[in-house]
Amino acid sequence: MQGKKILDSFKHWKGMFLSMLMLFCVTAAYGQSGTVKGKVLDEQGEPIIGANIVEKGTTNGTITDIDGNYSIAVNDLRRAVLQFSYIGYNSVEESVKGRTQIQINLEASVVNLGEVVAIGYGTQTRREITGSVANVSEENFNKGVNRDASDLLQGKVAGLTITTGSGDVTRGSQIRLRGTSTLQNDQGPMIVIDGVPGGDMSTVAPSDIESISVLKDASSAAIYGSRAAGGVILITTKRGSGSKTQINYDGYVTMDKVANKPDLLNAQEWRDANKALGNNISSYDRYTADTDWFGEMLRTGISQSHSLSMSGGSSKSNYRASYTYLDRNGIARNNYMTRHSFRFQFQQRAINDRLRIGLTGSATLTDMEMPTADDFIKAYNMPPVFPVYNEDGSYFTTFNAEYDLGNPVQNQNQNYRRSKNSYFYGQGDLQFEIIDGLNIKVNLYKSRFMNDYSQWASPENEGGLSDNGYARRRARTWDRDLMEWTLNYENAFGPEEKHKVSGLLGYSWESNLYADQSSIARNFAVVSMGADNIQSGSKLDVGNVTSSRNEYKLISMFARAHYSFDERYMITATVRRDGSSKFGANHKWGWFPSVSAAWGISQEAFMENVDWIDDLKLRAGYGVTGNQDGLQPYKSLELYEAYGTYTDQGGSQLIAYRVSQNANPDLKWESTAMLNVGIDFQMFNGRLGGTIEYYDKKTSDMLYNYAVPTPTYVYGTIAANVGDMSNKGVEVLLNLDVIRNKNFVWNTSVNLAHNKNKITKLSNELYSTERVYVGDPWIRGASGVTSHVVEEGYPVGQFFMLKCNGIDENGKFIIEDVNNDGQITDDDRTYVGDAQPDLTFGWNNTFTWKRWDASFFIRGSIGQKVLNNPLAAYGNNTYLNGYNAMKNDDLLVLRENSRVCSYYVENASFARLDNMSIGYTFDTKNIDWLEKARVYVAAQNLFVITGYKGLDPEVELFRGEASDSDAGLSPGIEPRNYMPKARSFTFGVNLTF
Amino acid sequence: MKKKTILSLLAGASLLFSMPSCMDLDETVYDKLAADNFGVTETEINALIGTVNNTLRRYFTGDYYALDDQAGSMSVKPTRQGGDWYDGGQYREIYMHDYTAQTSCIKNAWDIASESIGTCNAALSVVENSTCLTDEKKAQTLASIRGVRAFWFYKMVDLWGNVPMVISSEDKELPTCRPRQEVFDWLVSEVEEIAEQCPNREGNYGQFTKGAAYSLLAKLYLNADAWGVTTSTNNYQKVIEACDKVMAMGYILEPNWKDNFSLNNENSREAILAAIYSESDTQLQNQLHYNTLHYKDNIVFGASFSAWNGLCAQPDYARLFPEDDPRREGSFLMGKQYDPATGEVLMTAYDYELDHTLEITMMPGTEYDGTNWGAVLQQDGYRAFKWPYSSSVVDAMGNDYHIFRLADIYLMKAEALLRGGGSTAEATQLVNDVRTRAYGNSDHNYATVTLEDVQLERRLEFAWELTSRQDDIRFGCYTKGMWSSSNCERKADKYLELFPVSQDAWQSNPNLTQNPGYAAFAQ
Repeated sequence: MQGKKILDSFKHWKGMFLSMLMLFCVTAAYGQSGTVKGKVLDEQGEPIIGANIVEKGTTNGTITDIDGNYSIAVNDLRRAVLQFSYIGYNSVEESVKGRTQIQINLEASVVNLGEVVAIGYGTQTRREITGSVANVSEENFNKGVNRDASDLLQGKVAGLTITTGSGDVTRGSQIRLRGTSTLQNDQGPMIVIDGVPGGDMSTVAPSDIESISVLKDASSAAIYGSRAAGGVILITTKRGSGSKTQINYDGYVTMDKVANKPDLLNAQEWRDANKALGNNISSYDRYTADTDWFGEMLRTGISQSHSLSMSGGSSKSNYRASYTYLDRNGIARNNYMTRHSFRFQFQQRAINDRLRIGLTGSATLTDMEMPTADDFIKAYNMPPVFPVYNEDGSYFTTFNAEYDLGNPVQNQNQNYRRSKNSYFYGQGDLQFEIIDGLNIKVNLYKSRFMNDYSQWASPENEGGLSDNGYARRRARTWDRDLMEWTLNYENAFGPEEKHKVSGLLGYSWESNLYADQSSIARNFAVVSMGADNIQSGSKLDVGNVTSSRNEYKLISMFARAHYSFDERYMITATVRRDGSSKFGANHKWGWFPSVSAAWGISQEAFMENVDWIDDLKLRAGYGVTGNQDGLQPYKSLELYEAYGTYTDQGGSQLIAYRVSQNANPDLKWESTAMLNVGIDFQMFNGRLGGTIEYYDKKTSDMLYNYAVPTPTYVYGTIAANVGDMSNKGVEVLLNLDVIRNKNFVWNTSVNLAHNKNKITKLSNELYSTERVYVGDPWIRGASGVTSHVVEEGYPVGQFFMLKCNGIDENGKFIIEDVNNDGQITDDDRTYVGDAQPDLTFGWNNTFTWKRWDASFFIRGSIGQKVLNNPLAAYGNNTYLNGYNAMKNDDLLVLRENSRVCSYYVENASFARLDNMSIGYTFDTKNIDWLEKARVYVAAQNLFVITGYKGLDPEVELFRGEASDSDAGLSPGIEPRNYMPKARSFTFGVNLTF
Repeated sequence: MKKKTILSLLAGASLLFSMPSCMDLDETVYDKLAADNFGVTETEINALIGTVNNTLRRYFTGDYYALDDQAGSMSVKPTRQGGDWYDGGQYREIYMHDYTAQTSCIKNAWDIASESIGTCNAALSVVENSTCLTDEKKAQTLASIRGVRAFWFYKMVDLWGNVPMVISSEDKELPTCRPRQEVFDWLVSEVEEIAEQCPNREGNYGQFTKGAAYSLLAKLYLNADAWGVTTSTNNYQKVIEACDKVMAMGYILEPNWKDNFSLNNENSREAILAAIYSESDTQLQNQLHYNTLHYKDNIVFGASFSAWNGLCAQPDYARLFPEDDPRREGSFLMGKQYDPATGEVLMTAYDYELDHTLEITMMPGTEYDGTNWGAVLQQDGYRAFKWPYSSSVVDAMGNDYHIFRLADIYLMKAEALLRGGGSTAEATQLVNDVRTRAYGNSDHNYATVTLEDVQLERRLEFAWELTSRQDDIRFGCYTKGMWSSSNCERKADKYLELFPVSQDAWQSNPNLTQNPGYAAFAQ
């Protein structure tokens, strides 16, 4: 049965190729070549310098000179179409139609309707788009020090939540589009870099990025089918264009200072508080120090980045090569990231421009050191009277063996966790125009990611004390192979070419291979070599040397058809058939269709006299996307694995084997259906524009490790498709030119997003789950106490704990006896708010005055709750005799041990001045070797307005890796083992030669 | 020329598509073994039985310390000054018999037992279908796996009474809770059926042997009355018969009592059923040291680990030990602890001497949740010191834990003789054998023993060995807290002799029913 299906699909493909072969035999007639000349001017008739002119569908292009003049050679004067573009102006497409002189006036733009925007497997003009696509280009990127695309984009797109929860510069952002859409290790949106799906943001230096498109709804993302349920982010890198050679330098220096430190007691306050409580602290209070432990672990981090690129080409080819060096030093003294990014692109055309070959290569080499998060717990715990160093200059180690104490500065200096990452990829694409408008393209891609990890904890300090030295080395490899074939057709016909059709057919094959090996050794007599000589450790346990390897494959066929009439009525339909090796034998394939339509109301005859509306478009789309990303391979198979040892009758220790998991042969695709309705508008001559959208997203057959009964099963959970989840929301984007005149422009733009997340189902006829307890707030005396639930009818991030109504006159928590049984037990836990915001917003302002430019950007969210875990742990006098505590009103009032309860769940609404900048562009008209010179200063995270009492109201969705079990299901905890965030100040230079 | 290029290009492309791999989504597994390739050699079968026997290593862990010793009269995990070990109140609930379906150590213990049964069922189906074993070896292997499974059913019927019975990995129906009587009857017949097929004692340390089978049978019959199940035979006669079988198998009371607990206690000839631990295994570890010792006790043993300061002996239990009984010092870490380097007493946080006192004193004003349960000083309480701590211990102790040992058989038989109206002289002899071995002389022997003497002897002999709750129920003193100074009265209802079925277990299987006395599961 399955075999026949495969055979059938072969026949299908072979048929297609035969017809393609015939198409090849058709030779087209070529027209007359020639040169087009002219001027590009702005609204006031002033020449625009450096405007781009590109022959549509080619890389043939040029830019205007000082007087706005251009000259471009085209192959066919009759058919050629020229695209004129300049940053901040509406692009214009002009058919040459045999002319040799064309003058163009560009209009300044807010939202550029003629702008070409990347969509899945292609591009569209903004006017033609029927789905929900947000596009952010270079001029709107966040200013300051940025590591990757997520930093550039943070807060800019309504509905796209990018969380940077920690000050650790090696830690990536956590991204969600339109809410959490799965329980199974939500990976956030899929990243597509220059058409290659499944990329990693860290492989593209921010200075190489031209624009970023976010495919927000299912109708636009469904072309990526299986991995698009979390949305898609398309990154388009800069390319060389035209015949002009350009050299560009971007450089900046950044200074990072800690934005907010925990407010711990100083020595005198600590002594006073202990005295007030009648504690005898004589065994601790033997030192004269007054140590600010957080201060000792932190520093002012100085970072720098230098980016050099060159680009150019001829009418037949173009290239761009770039190198970016980033030396990012975090505010913790053992936190840095040094990254070298190399990228080159080369494109060549041949056979009368019908054949196009492109080559891209990229290498990203990163060295980094991650702070050990638990050192920050020590910084909370260590009494301020303890010194960092003894009088003789040696480390203060007296309390290193005490529970939860230890000199964190010594740990920081002597221990390390370092990674060396190498990420290489090469991409080759070959495109051939079979007949006019019909292109076949093959895209080949290979990447290899390698990570070399070293960890060392010296026996001299607290970190390595119990193991007498601990070293770990780990090597990981991730290989990805991708092959894609696409056939693309585009044509326009009818009077004035009002009917436009385009179609796409594609096939893709992808494999991912992961390999991992790790060694751990303990008991080091010699400490100076650390993890570089792991054989110096004499204790090696069974299970300390491990390796693993797994693989999955993804095969897809996809198609898209688009029709538009007069830019008035537009309809797009896509379908994708995806197969993933991860699923059960009979469930490997899934269908992911979508359809969307748009009505260009402003193009209608009856709107002709409505002057104040420039553009009005209504869109609606529905589509189904899938998810399999959070799922590990092999979950459908019954497997055996090595686990632990047993002793045989001869007394030898041998490896035992066990069933590795509850296999689920019925494992299948999770699917997410989304309805999206939107309206785009431009009015008052482009002064006011915006988008309002509503969506309704429903995830079904939701993958998760559901509870199953033992002993019916060997283990308590099984990967299965059971639940449903719903996300509904509204997004608004408004863009206004408050002031727009020749010298001064003030543009303000606001985005607002509201999302309502709800788990609607967790049980079916096979599996029954009512409530899953998740979240580990982790304070002393609360092992195994959870903070959240995953439950039907509630959102992800639902806090569920004892409800505290304050502190009584005896200093005891007033815990609500929810079930009225006269005592307080786990049965009294209840719902105490959730960690999902009701509203997220971004407010951007840009100002241009003559040669000056300035911007500031405020973003925030309203309505989310955060568990202030440090305050729960340290906001009391529980351990004051021997440990430090945080200054707060309850310190001496509370007469009960620290506990996790709703008392510490706080409203964490905030507004953050995320970044601001001021720049000046020099007048380089008279310097012939210098095209552009700009200097700027920028500041990031200047202040936060919030009622939240902890360090920062914006906390990570999860602490470990996205692949950890239940990652992302207990958001909204400010952890104790947390590196504070920084405030950054940047000075930078842009030069173009 | 041009055409040729295109043609060859296309030919290449179609070739690519004709490759069978272009639609192939079969998974290649690299680092695990597919089920249909596993269990084909005797080595593989042995590796699988290794996992079956390793389930016993999940027994000697914190959740069972709680259910079997802390809910009994032996040990307690008090909340320490500052709140360590309050952990949501679970250990208070266990001690005060205030447990609910949500008490997390009850849930964990349920999971361990039921997963272990699932592991045994899965292994049984592999062995049943294997063709590589001789008939004799196969029968013995099957019997020994069923034996381990029977042990776990015995723990479930002991702790929860009415439990689901799933005895085949093919059976995927959601089971209901079967009455204790039904599970008990099946268990007795199961153990009787396999007993003679199980391996012999010699050379089978760590396996479920004949001796283990008859020990288990003796446990079942000895507790039948207390569990409220009826049998058609004379239970105590059955206990005696089973014990006699074990006593005839060549086990001896180790002349040196401590040899049962030493790092090399695999050499003990008293061990009948053992969980074998290794210091160098990163999985399924013996972590009694972490559970019981103070953060600084390791210094006394010259070890580098820092423990968690939890488990200690209930004062009234420790008080039962006569000063001159070597088992007192052999069971408890007591008194002031000295740093061997300086000879000075170690100091704890809060500036106290590290002095493990017998008394555990609740500090006034630290009470939780309207109960009398409060925090106690860090150093309070005698600690487990039965299995000697080696200086090389970090995460895992290498000492094995003997689930059944011959002294237990002696005392069970003595108890059965007394309860069943058998020979008091023989019972006295058995108890005296245990005492003589403990003291190294017969000076402390009884002239004649009563049930109370047997009860006491069991307490002296089996501290920390997870027998307390079951024995207390049998001797009718389960409801009596033995920590008089705590003022934490235990609930006294009879239904508390069974633990509640965990809420989580019910969530994944709504066919389960709650034990009597507890709030029924709400649909």
